[in-house]
Amino acid sequence: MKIVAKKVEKVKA
Amino acid sequence: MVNESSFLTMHNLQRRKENSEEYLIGRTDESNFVILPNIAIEIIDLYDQQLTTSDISKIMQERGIEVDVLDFAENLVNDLQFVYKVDGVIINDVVEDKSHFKNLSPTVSRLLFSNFAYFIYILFLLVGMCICISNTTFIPTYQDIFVFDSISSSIIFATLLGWILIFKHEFAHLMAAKSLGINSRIGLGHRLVFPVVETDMSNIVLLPHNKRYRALLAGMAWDGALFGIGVVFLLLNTIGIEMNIVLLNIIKLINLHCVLAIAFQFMFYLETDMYYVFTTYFKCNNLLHNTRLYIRKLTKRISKEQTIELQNIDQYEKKIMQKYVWFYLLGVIWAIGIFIIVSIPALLKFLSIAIMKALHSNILSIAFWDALIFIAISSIPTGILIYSWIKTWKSNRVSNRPISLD
Repeated sequence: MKIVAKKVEKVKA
Repeated sequence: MVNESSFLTMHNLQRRKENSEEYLIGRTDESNFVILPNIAIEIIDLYDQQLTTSDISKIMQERGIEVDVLDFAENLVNDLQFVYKVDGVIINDVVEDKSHFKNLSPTVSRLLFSNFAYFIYILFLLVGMCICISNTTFIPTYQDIFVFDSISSSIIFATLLGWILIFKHEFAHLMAAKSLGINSRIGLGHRLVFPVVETDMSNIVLLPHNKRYRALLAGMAWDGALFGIGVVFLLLNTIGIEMNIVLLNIIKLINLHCVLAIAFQFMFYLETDMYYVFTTYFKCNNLLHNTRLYIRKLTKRISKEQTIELQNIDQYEKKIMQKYVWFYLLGVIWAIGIFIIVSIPALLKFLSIAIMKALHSNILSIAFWDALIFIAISSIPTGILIYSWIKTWKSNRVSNRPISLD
Protein backbone atom coordinates (compact mmCIF):
# COMPACT_ATOMS: atom_id res chain seq x y z
CA MET A 1 0.00 0.00 0.00
CA LYS A 2 1.27 3.45 -0.90
CA ILE A 3 0.54 6.31 1.48
CA VAL A 4 -1.17 9.27 -0.17
CA ALA A 5 -1.01 12.75 1.40
CA LYS A 6 -3.94 15.11 0.90
CA LYS A 7 -2.80 18.69 0.44
CA VAL A 8 -4.23 21.41 2.68
CA GLU A 9 -4.58 24.82 1.05
CA LYS A 10 -2.84 27.89 2.41
CA VAL A 11 -5.02 30.45 4.16
CA LYS A 12 -4.41 33.94 2.78
CA ALA A 13 -6.97 36.58 3.72
CA MET B 1 18.96 9.34 -2.24
CA VAL B 2 16.77 7.59 0.36
CA ASN B 3 17.43 3.87 0.75
CA GLU B 4 16.57 1.06 3.16
CA SER B 5 19.37 2.01 5.57
CA SER B 6 18.58 5.75 5.65
CA PHE B 7 17.98 7.70 8.85
CA LEU B 8 15.60 10.62 8.39
CA THR B 9 15.66 13.67 10.67
CA MET B 10 12.36 15.54 10.51
CA HIS B 11 11.73 19.26 10.75
CA ASN B 12 9.73 20.48 13.73
CA LEU B 13 6.36 19.11 12.62
CA GLN B 14 3.12 20.29 14.24
CA ARG B 15 0.01 18.13 14.08
CA ARG B 16 -3.70 18.14 14.85
CA LYS B 17 -6.07 15.16 14.92
CA GLU B 18 -8.46 15.60 11.97
CA ASN B 19 -10.68 12.57 12.64
CA SER B 20 -10.35 9.00 13.95
CA GLU B 21 -8.35 7.94 10.86
CA GLU B 22 -6.26 11.00 9.94
CA TYR B 23 -4.00 13.75 11.21
CA LEU B 24 -3.21 17.18 9.80
CA ILE B 25 0.56 17.63 9.96
CA GLY B 26 3.11 20.09 8.61
CA ARG B 27 5.92 22.59 8.99
CA THR B 28 5.06 25.92 10.59
CA ASP B 29 8.11 27.68 9.09
CA GLU B 30 6.94 26.91 5.53
CA SER B 31 3.24 26.75 6.46
CA ASN B 32 2.72 23.66 4.32
CA PHE B 33 0.31 21.11 5.75
CA VAL B 34 -1.16 17.82 4.58
CA ILE B 35 -3.64 15.24 5.84
CA LEU B 36 -2.05 11.84 6.46
CA PRO B 37 -3.49 8.52 7.68
CA ASN B 38 -2.61 7.38 11.22
CA ILE B 39 -0.14 4.80 9.88
CA ALA B 40 1.90 7.57 8.21
CA ILE B 41 2.09 9.47 11.50
CA GLU B 42 3.33 6.29 13.21
CA ILE B 43 6.06 5.94 10.57
CA ILE B 44 7.15 9.57 11.12
CA ASP B 45 7.28 8.91 14.88
CA LEU B 46 9.43 5.80 14.27
CA TYR B 47 11.85 7.86 12.16
CA ASP B 48 12.02 10.31 15.08
CA GLN B 49 13.18 7.36 17.22
CA GLN B 50 16.25 7.03 14.94
CA LEU B 51 15.03 3.88 13.17
CA THR B 52 16.02 3.22 9.56
CA THR B 53 13.61 2.65 6.68
CA SER B 54 14.43 -1.06 6.83
CA ASP B 55 13.72 -1.22 10.61
CA ILE B 56 10.34 0.45 10.12
CA SER B 57 9.44 -1.84 7.19
CA LYS B 58 10.14 -4.88 9.43
CA ILE B 59 7.96 -3.48 12.25
CA MET B 60 5.11 -2.94 9.77
CA GLN B 61 5.48 -6.47 8.35
CA GLU B 62 5.46 -7.97 11.87
CA ARG B 63 2.18 -6.14 12.51
CA GLY B 64 0.75 -7.46 9.24
CA ILE B 65 0.54 -3.99 7.65
CA GLU B 66 1.40 -3.87 3.94
CA VAL B 67 2.85 -0.39 3.47
CA ASP B 68 5.56 0.92 1.13
CA VAL B 69 7.76 2.72 3.69
CA LEU B 70 10.52 3.58 1.20
CA ASP B 71 8.04 5.24 -1.18
CA PHE B 72 6.60 7.26 1.72
CA ALA B 73 10.13 8.25 2.83
CA GLU B 74 10.84 9.60 -0.67
CA ASN B 75 7.58 11.53 -0.51
CA LEU B 76 8.56 12.99 2.86
CA VAL B 77 11.86 14.19 1.38
CA ASN B 78 10.84 15.40 -2.08
CA ASP B 79 7.15 16.31 -2.21
CA LEU B 80 6.29 17.21 1.37
CA GLN B 81 9.78 18.45 2.30
CA PHE B 82 9.17 17.45 5.93
CA VAL B 83 12.68 15.94 6.18
CA TYR B 84 15.50 18.17 7.45
CA LYS B 85 18.37 15.69 7.08
CA VAL B 86 18.96 12.33 5.38
CA ASP B 87 21.84 10.42 7.05
CA GLY B 88 23.06 13.68 8.60
CA VAL B 89 23.08 15.65 5.33
CA ILE B 90 20.79 18.70 5.20
CA ILE B 91 18.23 18.20 2.40
CA ASN B 92 15.55 20.80 3.15
CA ASP B 93 16.94 23.69 5.19
CA VAL B 94 15.00 25.55 7.87
CA VAL B 95 13.19 28.59 6.49
CA GLU B 96 13.62 31.85 8.39
CA ASP B 97 10.45 33.09 10.13
CA LYS B 98 9.40 36.09 8.04
CA SER B 99 6.15 36.90 9.84
CA HIS B 100 5.31 40.56 10.48
CA PHE B 101 4.66 42.43 13.74
CA LYS B 102 5.92 39.50 15.80
CA ASN B 103 6.13 41.71 18.91
CA LEU B 104 2.48 42.70 18.73
CA SER B 105 0.86 42.30 22.15
CA PRO B 106 -1.36 39.19 22.25
CA THR B 107 -3.30 40.81 25.14
CA VAL B 108 -4.25 43.88 23.07
CA SER B 109 -5.04 41.61 20.11
CA ARG B 110 -7.33 39.45 22.25
CA LEU B 111 -9.05 42.59 23.57
CA LEU B 112 -9.71 43.98 20.06
CA PHE B 113 -11.05 40.64 18.80
CA SER B 114 -12.92 39.36 21.84
CA ASN B 115 -16.56 38.29 21.58
CA PHE B 116 -17.54 41.64 23.10
CA ALA B 117 -15.47 43.55 20.51
CA TYR B 118 -17.14 41.56 17.71
CA PHE B 119 -20.54 42.42 19.22
CA ILE B 120 -19.64 46.14 19.04
CA TYR B 121 -18.38 45.83 15.42
CA ILE B 122 -21.56 44.04 14.29
CA LEU B 123 -23.69 46.58 16.19
CA PHE B 124 -22.04 49.50 14.33
CA LEU B 125 -22.56 47.71 11.00
CA LEU B 126 -26.24 47.04 11.74
CA VAL B 127 -26.82 50.64 12.87
CA GLY B 128 -25.19 51.87 9.64
CA MET B 129 -27.32 49.52 7.52
CA CYS B 130 -30.54 50.54 9.30
CA ILE B 131 -29.79 54.25 8.74
CA CYS B 132 -29.07 53.55 5.04
CA ILE B 133 -32.34 51.61 4.66
CA SER B 134 -34.35 54.42 6.29
CA ASN B 135 -32.56 57.12 4.26
CA THR B 136 -31.09 55.87 0.99
CA THR B 137 -29.10 59.08 0.40
CA PHE B 138 -26.51 57.64 2.83
CA ILE B 139 -25.83 54.65 0.57
CA PRO B 140 -22.38 55.13 -1.04
CA THR B 141 -22.25 55.85 -4.79
CA TYR B 142 -19.39 56.11 -7.26
CA GLN B 143 -19.66 59.91 -7.12
CA ASP B 144 -18.24 59.63 -3.59
CA ILE B 145 -14.79 58.98 -5.05
CA PHE B 146 -14.52 62.72 -5.83
CA VAL B 147 -13.50 64.36 -2.56
CA PHE B 148 -12.22 67.53 -4.26
CA ASP B 149 -13.34 69.55 -7.31
CA SER B 150 -10.16 68.48 -9.13
CA ILE B 151 -10.52 64.97 -10.61
CA SER B 152 -6.77 64.26 -10.44
CA SER B 153 -6.49 65.38 -6.81
CA SER B 154 -9.50 63.22 -5.97
CA ILE B 155 -8.02 60.13 -7.63
CA ILE B 156 -4.63 60.62 -5.97
CA PHE B 157 -6.30 61.11 -2.58
CA ALA B 158 -8.63 58.11 -3.09
CA THR B 159 -5.65 55.93 -3.97
CA LEU B 160 -3.62 56.98 -0.92
CA LEU B 161 -6.61 56.58 1.41
CA GLY B 162 -7.43 53.26 -0.30
CA TRP B 163 -3.99 51.88 0.55
CA ILE B 164 -4.34 52.97 4.19
CA LEU B 165 -7.74 51.23 4.38
CA ILE B 166 -6.36 48.10 2.67
CA PHE B 167 -3.56 47.96 5.26
CA LYS B 168 -6.15 48.46 8.02
CA HIS B 169 -8.12 45.45 6.68
CA GLU B 170 -5.03 43.21 6.53
CA PHE B 171 -3.76 44.41 9.91
CA ALA B 172 -7.09 43.32 11.42
CA HIS B 173 -6.49 39.78 10.10
CA LEU B 174 -2.91 39.79 11.38
CA MET B 175 -3.96 41.05 14.82
CA ALA B 176 -6.87 38.61 15.14
CA ALA B 177 -4.59 35.71 14.14
CA LYS B 178 -2.08 36.93 16.74
CA SER B 179 -4.85 36.82 19.36
CA LEU B 180 -5.11 33.09 18.53
CA GLY B 181 -1.33 32.60 18.82
CA ILE B 182 -0.76 32.48 15.04
CA ASN B 183 1.92 34.64 13.39
CA SER B 184 1.12 36.03 9.93
CA ARG B 185 2.74 37.87 7.06
CA ILE B 186 1.32 40.59 4.80
CA GLY B 187 2.28 40.43 1.12
CA LEU B 188 1.17 41.04 -2.46
CA GLY B 189 -0.58 38.48 -4.63
CA HIS B 190 -3.37 37.99 -7.12
CA ARG B 191 -6.73 36.28 -7.39
CA LEU B 192 -7.22 35.41 -11.06
CA VAL B 193 -7.07 38.90 -12.66
CA PHE B 194 -7.33 40.93 -9.45
CA PRO B 195 -4.19 42.28 -7.78
CA VAL B 196 -4.55 41.80 -4.02
CA VAL B 197 -2.85 42.47 -0.71
CA GLU B 198 -2.97 39.28 1.36
CA THR B 199 -2.26 38.13 4.90
CA ASP B 200 -0.74 34.65 4.98
CA MET B 201 -2.00 33.01 8.16
CA SER B 202 -1.74 29.42 6.91
CA ASN B 203 -0.69 28.06 10.31
CA ILE B 204 -4.27 28.72 11.43
CA VAL B 205 -5.16 25.24 10.13
CA LEU B 206 -3.52 23.87 13.29
CA LEU B 207 -6.48 25.28 15.22
CA PRO B 208 -9.89 23.54 15.37
CA HIS B 209 -12.26 24.84 12.67
CA ASN B 210 -14.57 26.74 15.05
CA LYS B 211 -11.63 28.78 16.43
CA ARG B 212 -10.65 30.20 13.02
CA TYR B 213 -13.60 32.50 12.28
CA ARG B 214 -12.29 35.25 14.56
CA ALA B 215 -9.27 35.73 12.27
CA LEU B 216 -11.06 35.03 8.97
CA LEU B 217 -13.79 37.64 9.60
CA ALA B 218 -11.54 40.26 11.25
CA GLY B 219 -10.99 42.38 8.13
CA MET B 220 -14.69 42.52 7.30
CA ALA B 221 -15.53 43.24 10.96
CA TRP B 222 -13.37 46.37 10.93
CA ASP B 223 -14.68 47.39 7.47
CA GLY B 224 -18.27 46.96 8.68
CA ALA B 225 -17.70 48.85 11.92
CA LEU B 226 -15.96 51.73 10.12
CA PHE B 227 -18.84 51.92 7.63
CA GLY B 228 -21.37 52.08 10.48
CA ILE B 229 -19.44 54.84 12.27
CA GLY B 230 -19.17 56.78 8.99
CA VAL B 231 -22.93 56.60 8.37
CA VAL B 232 -23.61 57.79 11.94
CA PHE B 233 -21.37 60.84 11.29
CA LEU B 234 -23.27 61.58 8.05
CA LEU B 235 -26.55 61.35 9.97
CA LEU B 236 -25.26 63.70 12.69
CA ASN B 237 -24.40 66.22 9.97
CA THR B 238 -28.01 66.24 8.74
CA ILE B 239 -29.51 66.74 12.20
CA GLY B 240 -27.61 69.86 13.18
CA ILE B 241 -23.95 69.02 13.84
CA GLU B 242 -22.50 70.61 10.71
CA MET B 243 -19.14 69.42 9.42
CA ASN B 244 -16.57 70.70 6.95
CA ILE B 245 -17.53 69.69 3.37
CA VAL B 246 -14.12 68.08 2.70
CA LEU B 247 -14.38 66.03 5.92
CA LEU B 248 -17.87 64.90 4.88
CA ASN B 249 -16.56 63.91 1.45
CA ILE B 250 -13.71 61.92 3.06
CA ILE B 251 -16.24 60.06 5.25
CA LYS B 252 -18.31 59.26 2.13
CA LEU B 253 -15.18 57.97 0.37
CA ILE B 254 -14.31 55.75 3.37
CA ASN B 255 -17.88 54.40 3.36
CA LEU B 256 -17.65 53.64 -0.38
CA HIS B 257 -14.36 51.82 0.12
CA CYS B 258 -15.74 49.77 3.04
CA VAL B 259 -18.84 48.68 1.08
CA LEU B 260 -16.77 47.69 -1.97
CA ALA B 261 -14.24 45.92 0.25
CA ILE B 262 -16.99 43.82 1.87
CA ALA B 263 -18.57 43.11 -1.56
CA PHE B 264 -15.21 41.87 -2.89
CA GLN B 265 -15.01 39.31 -0.07
CA PHE B 266 -18.23 37.70 -1.33
CA MET B 267 -16.57 36.76 -4.64
CA PHE B 268 -16.11 33.36 -3.08
CA TYR B 269 -15.11 31.64 -6.29
CA LEU B 270 -11.74 33.26 -5.57
CA GLU B 271 -9.78 32.69 -2.37
CA THR B 272 -11.40 35.61 -0.56
CA ASP B 273 -12.25 35.89 3.14
CA MET B 274 -15.77 34.49 2.60
CA TYR B 275 -14.34 31.57 0.62
CA TYR B 276 -12.25 30.61 3.67
CA VAL B 277 -15.30 31.02 5.93
CA PHE B 278 -17.21 28.72 3.55
CA THR B 279 -14.46 26.05 3.43
CA THR B 280 -13.95 26.25 7.19
CA TYR B 281 -17.68 25.79 7.84
CA PHE B 282 -17.90 22.80 5.46
CA LYS B 283 -14.46 21.48 6.57
CA CYS B 284 -13.05 21.36 3.03
CA ASN B 285 -9.25 21.19 3.03
CA ASN B 286 -8.45 22.21 -0.53
CA LEU B 287 -11.69 23.03 -2.34
CA LEU B 288 -10.41 25.42 -5.03
CA HIS B 289 -7.41 23.25 -5.98
CA ASN B 290 -9.59 20.13 -6.11
CA THR B 291 -12.22 21.97 -8.18
CA ARG B 292 -9.54 22.92 -10.70
CA LEU B 293 -8.46 19.26 -10.85
CA TYR B 294 -12.11 18.27 -11.42
CA ILE B 295 -12.35 20.77 -14.33
CA ARG B 296 -9.13 19.29 -15.77
CA LYS B 297 -10.78 15.86 -15.58
CA LEU B 298 -13.95 17.12 -17.30
CA THR B 299 -11.87 18.73 -20.07
CA LYS B 300 -9.59 15.64 -20.29
CA ARG B 301 -6.42 17.62 -19.46
CA ILE B 302 -5.56 15.69 -16.31
CA SER B 303 -2.24 13.94 -15.64
CA LYS B 304 -1.83 10.52 -13.99
CA GLU B 305 -0.65 12.07 -10.69
CA GLN B 306 -3.58 14.50 -10.70
CA THR B 307 -6.02 11.62 -11.32
CA ILE B 308 -4.68 9.81 -8.24
CA GLU B 309 -4.94 13.05 -6.24
CA LEU B 310 -8.55 13.53 -7.37
CA GLN B 311 -9.45 9.93 -6.47
CA ASN B 312 -8.19 10.44 -2.92
CA ILE B 313 -10.44 13.40 -2.11
CA ASP B 314 -13.02 12.70 0.61
CA GLN B 315 -16.45 11.76 -0.77
CA TYR B 316 -17.90 14.54 1.39
CA GLU B 317 -15.65 17.18 -0.20
CA LYS B 318 -16.33 15.75 -3.68
CA LYS B 319 -20.08 16.36 -3.22
CA ILE B 320 -19.47 20.00 -2.24
CA MET B 321 -16.96 20.37 -5.09
CA GLN B 322 -19.49 19.18 -7.70
CA LYS B 323 -21.86 22.00 -6.66
CA TYR B 324 -19.14 24.61 -6.12
CA VAL B 325 -17.65 24.03 -9.59
CA TRP B 326 -20.59 25.88 -11.23
CA PHE B 327 -20.15 28.94 -8.97
CA TYR B 328 -16.46 28.80 -9.78
CA LEU B 329 -16.90 28.56 -13.57
CA LEU B 330 -19.53 31.32 -13.71
CA GLY B 331 -17.43 33.54 -11.44
CA VAL B 332 -14.26 33.01 -13.45
CA ILE B 333 -16.04 33.70 -16.76
CA TRP B 334 -17.60 36.86 -15.26
CA ALA B 335 -14.29 38.11 -13.83
CA ILE B 336 -12.26 37.45 -16.99
CA GLY B 337 -15.08 38.95 -19.09
CA ILE B 338 -15.11 42.16 -17.01
CA PHE B 339 -11.30 42.26 -17.15
CA ILE B 340 -11.19 41.99 -20.96
CA ILE B 341 -14.31 44.04 -21.80
CA VAL B 342 -14.10 46.78 -19.13
CA SER B 343 -10.81 46.93 -17.19
CA ILE B 344 -8.22 46.68 -19.98
CA PRO B 345 -9.98 49.06 -22.45
CA ALA B 346 -10.67 51.59 -19.64
CA LEU B 347 -7.06 51.43 -18.44
CA LEU B 348 -5.68 51.80 -21.98
CA LYS B 349 -8.05 54.68 -22.75
CA PHE B 350 -7.17 56.66 -19.61
CA LEU B 351 -3.46 55.92 -20.03
CA SER B 352 -3.46 57.05 -23.67
CA ILE B 353 -5.25 60.30 -22.70
CA ALA B 354 -2.74 60.88 -19.88
CA ILE B 355 0.28 60.10 -22.11
CA MET B 356 -0.97 62.45 -24.86
CA LYS B 357 -1.56 65.13 -22.22
CA ALA B 358 1.97 64.68 -20.84
CA LEU B 359 3.54 64.77 -24.32
CA HIS B 360 1.76 68.01 -25.23
CA SER B 361 2.49 69.82 -21.96
CA ASN B 362 5.47 71.78 -20.74
CA ILE B 363 7.58 69.76 -18.29
CA LEU B 364 7.17 72.53 -15.69
CA SER B 365 3.39 72.76 -16.10
CA ILE B 366 0.82 71.36 -13.64
CA ALA B 367 -0.85 69.47 -16.53
CA PHE B 368 2.36 67.48 -17.21
CA TRP B 369 2.82 66.37 -13.59
CA ASP B 370 -0.91 65.78 -13.24
CA ALA B 371 -0.75 63.32 -16.15
CA LEU B 372 2.46 61.71 -14.88
CA ILE B 373 1.03 61.07 -11.39
CA PHE B 374 -2.12 59.61 -12.96
CA ILE B 375 0.01 57.22 -15.09
CA ALA B 376 2.00 56.16 -12.00
CA ILE B 377 -1.14 55.52 -9.92
CA SER B 378 -2.87 53.58 -12.72
CA SER B 379 0.20 51.39 -13.09
CA ILE B 380 0.34 50.26 -9.43
CA PRO B 381 -2.43 47.58 -9.58
CA THR B 382 -1.22 46.37 -12.99
CA GLY B 383 2.34 46.21 -11.63
CA ILE B 384 1.20 44.14 -8.62
CA LEU B 385 -0.69 41.77 -10.94
CA ILE B 386 2.29 41.21 -13.25
CA TYR B 387 4.69 40.84 -10.26
CA SER B 388 2.41 38.24 -8.64
CA TRP B 389 1.86 36.30 -11.88
CA ILE B 390 5.64 36.07 -12.43
CA LYS B 391 6.21 35.06 -8.76
CA THR B 392 3.60 32.28 -9.03
CA TRP B 393 5.03 31.06 -12.35
CA LYS B 394 8.57 30.92 -10.89
CA SER B 395 7.32 29.19 -7.72
CA ASN B 396 5.52 26.53 -9.81
CA ARG B 397 8.70 25.89 -11.81
CA VAL B 398 10.79 25.43 -8.64
CA SER B 399 8.23 23.16 -6.93
CA ASN B 400 8.19 20.85 -9.96
CA ARG B 401 11.96 20.36 -9.76
CA PRO B 402 13.05 17.17 -7.88
CA ILE B 403 15.48 17.57 -4.98
CA SER B 404 18.92 16.09 -5.55
CA LEU B 405 21.94 15.47 -3.35
CA ASP B 406 24.28 16.23 -6.27
